[in-house]
Amino acid sequence: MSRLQDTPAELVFRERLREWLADHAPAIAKHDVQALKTWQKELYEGGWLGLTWPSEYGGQGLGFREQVIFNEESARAKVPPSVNSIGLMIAGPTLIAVGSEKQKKRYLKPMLTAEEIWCQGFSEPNAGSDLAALQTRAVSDGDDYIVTGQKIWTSNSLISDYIWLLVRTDTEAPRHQGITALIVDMHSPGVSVKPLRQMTGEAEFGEVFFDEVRVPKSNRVGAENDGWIIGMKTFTRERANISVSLSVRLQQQFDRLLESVRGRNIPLDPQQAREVAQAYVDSECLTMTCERLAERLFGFESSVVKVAWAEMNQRLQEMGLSTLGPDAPLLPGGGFDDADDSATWGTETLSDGVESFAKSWQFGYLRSRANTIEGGTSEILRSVIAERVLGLPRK
Amino acid sequence: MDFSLTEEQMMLRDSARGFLGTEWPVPELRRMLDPGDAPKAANSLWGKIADLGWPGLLVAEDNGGLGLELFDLVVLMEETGRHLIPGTLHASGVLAALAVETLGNDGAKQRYLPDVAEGSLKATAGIYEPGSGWTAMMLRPQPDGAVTKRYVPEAADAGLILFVNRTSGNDVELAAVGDPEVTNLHSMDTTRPIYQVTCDPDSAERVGGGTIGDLQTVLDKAAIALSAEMVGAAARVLEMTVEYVKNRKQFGRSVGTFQAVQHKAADMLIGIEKARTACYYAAAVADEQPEKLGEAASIAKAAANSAFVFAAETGLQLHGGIGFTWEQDLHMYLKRAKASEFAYGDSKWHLDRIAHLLALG
Repeated sequence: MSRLQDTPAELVFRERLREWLADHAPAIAKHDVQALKTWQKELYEGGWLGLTWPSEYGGQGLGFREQVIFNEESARAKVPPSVNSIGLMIAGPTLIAVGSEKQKKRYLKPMLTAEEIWCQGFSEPNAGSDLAALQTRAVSDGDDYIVTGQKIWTSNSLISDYIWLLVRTDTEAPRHQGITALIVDMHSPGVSVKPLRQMTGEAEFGEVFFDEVRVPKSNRVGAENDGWIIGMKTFTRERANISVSLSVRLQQQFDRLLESVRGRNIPLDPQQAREVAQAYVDSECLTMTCERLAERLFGFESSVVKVAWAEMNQRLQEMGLSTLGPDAPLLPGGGFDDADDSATWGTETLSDGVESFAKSWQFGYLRSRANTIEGGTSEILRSVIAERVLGLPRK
Repeated sequence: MDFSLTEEQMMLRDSARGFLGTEWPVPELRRMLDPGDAPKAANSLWGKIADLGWPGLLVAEDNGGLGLELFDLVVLMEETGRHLIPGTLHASGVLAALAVETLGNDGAKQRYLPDVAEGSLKATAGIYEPGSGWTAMMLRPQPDGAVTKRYVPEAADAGLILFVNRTSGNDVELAAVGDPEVTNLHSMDTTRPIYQVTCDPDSAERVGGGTIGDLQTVLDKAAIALSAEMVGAAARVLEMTVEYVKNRKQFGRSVGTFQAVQHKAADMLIGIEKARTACYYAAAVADEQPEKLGEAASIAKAAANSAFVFAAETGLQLHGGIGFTWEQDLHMYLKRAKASEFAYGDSKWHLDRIAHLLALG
């Protein structure tokens, strides 16, 4: 038995995928949504998406190992991240776990083909880390709910067709018990989206407003007032899937760091070399820990790798940026605006040109500041680890 | 990579945990704090360990051992680390057994390994020299006069002391020492005494040889085994700490409810999980991809150093004043952490090696 090598079946899968990616991987400008959708559809038709999803809903019915191989190979081929990442990594897996048969049949496949893009409406202006404080109301009206309120930090909201929404259905109940999960059509009358410009200059997320939006009760996921549990399941899936996919990207970032360090004319002093070696130790350990804990990642253990990943990526980005020396803060082309068609993916290597390589570090550094906030702040997650994994008391 | 344990490995882990819980409870461990009583306590455990076959875990079946792999050993060492067992298993069953398996001639294997595997012969090996640091290439050929080895574990009690001496160029010899002069170096970790051993070359017998690279393989595997013990010990410290902060009340509440305390405990866990992964990985590399052993061993030892020292220091801090006392057991873990950190290379040494392998600077 080999622990380090792919099984023969895994190897066949990997080689077939690598060949397919070599033939198909496109060069797409970051904000060309249509091209990104077309690419995702192509991936789906090639049989490479929904790898772990059941085949009756359009998935491939394969195992976790195939997903890891897919992540590794798509990082190696530098293919763009999925335009429907919230659907594929968060809404889809949660729907598979808790949705009705009808909902799964209706929504999962168009998620995979990118015909319908999804976003997730959890956070509100007054409900961030304290999510149970959410106030967006859903009032029962016959066969519908009437939804009113506001969500914020909603990634992909500007391009989404559906939102995975948490709303309050009972204002009298203890706050964790009055929450319900809904699927809401973003094109419904009364839904409006305002872009939220980030410190990078991009508007990857937005604010979503609901003004008496009519939502059929058949779009409720799970029972009324059962939304908190569903929300928690969503979170562990989010953290697990993001950790697994981004841990591969850590290796990619470390390779960029090596390239950057070696590309400098000034040799490293022993202390600097040790810092790079330490970053290697930590990112290797972390990447493999995601793989080792994979089966437990749908529990609270996902917080362990999320915290470590976020801080590791920040460290790599800080180190990468500092390899630029005095030019580090000087932005070639002036910024990372959405309108700028040279927007960076954050994965460029020297072969993409010195300027886009530098820009990629600058963008990566700024973007990475959100890593310890998005998907649960590191402070909240450390408390989750302490209380839910280690069993420390809450009060 | 496949990190799952086989059924046999899970059985080994569970039976080791059960056995050590019964045979090496804290009152037995604390006997190691009394210099007069420590050898007796260690010996009584050793007899029972020998009955389980652990000393021969790595020894080939042809030589009377179990012929298992490093991955199996790592699973076992995590448990022995949790319980801070004395050093004979690592010195004899890991370091000396690997030295003979790797460097010994056929005669030496036949003569020593069956007894080492059985536990009736306690062996150890002296490798490092004054001034060599942890670098095998820094061993100096010493054609004349006495040879002195430092940091030799368990030498006072050993029935066989082996030296690995550099002879010339990249060559080393394995020598069985006769008439050694053994000086206790008084490690702060009294569960694992280490010694300086001096021997006249005339009273030593050459029993094998190889290259510096072969020697490094022995050291890397020994380092991986030690790293696994460090992970196990760190995990035990975390358990002790969680238990303590749950029960300790201040300001009318359990101190484990304070975020400043919770977040430190969370960081202990993160470090331990990363280091555990690194040990499993390094063991798999040792078994399957020897060409990558150096890097994998250094990753494991660097990760284990950080995780265990952090856990021991932080665990002590979270225990407050009681953690600083002799009666509390934490100081034994902290001292083991520091002694282990400086065995087979501290983090600086391993990071320099990784930097070299990555062609940096």
